[in-house]
Amino acid sequence: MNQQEKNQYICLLFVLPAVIFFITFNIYPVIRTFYLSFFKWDGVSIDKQFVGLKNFYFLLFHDKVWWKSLLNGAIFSFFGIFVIDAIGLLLAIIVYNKKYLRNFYTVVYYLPCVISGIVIGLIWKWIFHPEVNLINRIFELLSISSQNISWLDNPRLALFAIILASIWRGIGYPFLIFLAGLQNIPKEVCEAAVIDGVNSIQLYTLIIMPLLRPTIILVSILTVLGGFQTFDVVVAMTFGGPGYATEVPTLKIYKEALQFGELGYACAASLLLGLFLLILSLIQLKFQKTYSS
Amino acid sequence: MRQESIIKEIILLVFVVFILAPFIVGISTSLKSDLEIYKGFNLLPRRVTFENYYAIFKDKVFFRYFINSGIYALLTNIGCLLIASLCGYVIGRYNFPFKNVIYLAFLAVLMIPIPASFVSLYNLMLQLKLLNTRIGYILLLISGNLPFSIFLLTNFFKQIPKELEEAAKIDGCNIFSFYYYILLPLSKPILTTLSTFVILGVWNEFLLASIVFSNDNLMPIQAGLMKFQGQYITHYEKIMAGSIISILPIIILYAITYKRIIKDIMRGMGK
Repeated sequence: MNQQEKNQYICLLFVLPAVIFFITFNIYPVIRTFYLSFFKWDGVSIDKQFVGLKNFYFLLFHDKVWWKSLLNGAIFSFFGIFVIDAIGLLLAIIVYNKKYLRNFYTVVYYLPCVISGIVIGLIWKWIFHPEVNLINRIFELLSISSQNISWLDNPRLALFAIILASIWRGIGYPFLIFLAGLQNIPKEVCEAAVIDGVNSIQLYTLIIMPLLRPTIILVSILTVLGGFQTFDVVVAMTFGGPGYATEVPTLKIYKEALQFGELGYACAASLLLGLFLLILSLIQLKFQKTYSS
Repeated sequence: MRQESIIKEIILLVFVVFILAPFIVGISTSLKSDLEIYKGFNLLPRRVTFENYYAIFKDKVFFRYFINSGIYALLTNIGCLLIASLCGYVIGRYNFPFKNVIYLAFLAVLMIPIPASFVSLYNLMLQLKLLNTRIGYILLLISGNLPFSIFLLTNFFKQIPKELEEAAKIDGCNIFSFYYYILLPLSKPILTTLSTFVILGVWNEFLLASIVFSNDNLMPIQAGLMKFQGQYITHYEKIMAGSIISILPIIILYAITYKRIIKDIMRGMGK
């Protein structure tokens, strides 16, 4: 065996641990999810009952909670793009033009992004607690409403409570990405535009926004991906309640598998959600490739 | 023009207050007695008490969650860096059979979200008899962090000039000693970055922990916090104290590494 051949074996030896991990914990589970989605199975008993496409059929046409959870995912995505990302963009533009304290703002805005969803959920659950209800107190101060509303017990308002917590949690990431996007725009472009007599509003709407478009699309897709995968904050704040008002897809799958013992059904739901998210990721990848080349 | 810049300052400050307020509410609540917290909210405690923190320090179970998370973060980090750097090293610098297939497969896995596979991961843990074991959880954490780490390290190792390797070869380095004595010391900055992201991720991880553990003794901090809040459901002063303690290591890590974290996120790293 010459050196070349020997090196090839060593190379394979070096990638072997990663490949083993990869097959055991990535490939196999995905194949198994696919396989189990055709069965009715509780996960423990020896007998699996083959049910064909019944799980998917029930999921798509009879499971209102599943659709509710997807709707909530869509609502999170909607607010994510039009509130969280919009605020992130606004703050990024302001901070970009500042000479002082840039680091300070960046560090503060990004802070919630390093905190766990559970802690965020617990703190916000307390903020919305009927006994404290800071939100109501702020409403009182602004004289919007003086009722003592119990947000998390109200099916309509609970979702908004979670959205507010998500806004708090989510601003930092789009803010940073937009700030990076702005910094990548060559200074000369803006300077040339100003010399040509463009005012500051035109500068943003006509020049910076179009240049920032790839970043905006990228952030939007990431926001939708995140919106449909919201989990920790919901678990800590409402666990999907009251009723199923704040159910989210991951939590629905979690409950089916670990609480109701419907493993096959949970796998079918996993598969549908995974497929949807995968398509979004592929679109994102395509955009990134188009714009980076 | 001046008016405009005042409005901008106000917007920035409003959001600073918005971001910091929940932390202040949490800290303030954690310093109150259980009698005070339900008497309407005051930002400043009427009487500052550390009894909630004291109670948590005495709570052996809570302390264990903390230690557990430390163990998981450390071992995941070591395992992940070791496996990913070996793999990234040869993929980035050598040619061998199946190389491209393997690399593309890793990239593909980056796009499979956890919600799509956690049910069968749970089932897999059951089959392997790894439910309620430390090793089971650590294996899941390592595999979760691997694809991204391999991606990052492969790109980094690719950039290291060929001449360096040839010079090392003449000096008698083989494929392994080059990795160990030259490549690893060179990649300290990127390994530090990667470690920071891995540790942050492990410390904040909840979903996998909640499928692997039902046993108190082995739970990491996030799953522990949920359990803890179930026990003290009405004692928000204790829940807040627990939350504050649980984020302390993260805040310290963030304070030390924020420059690098922010720079790396802006360069498109992180998720």
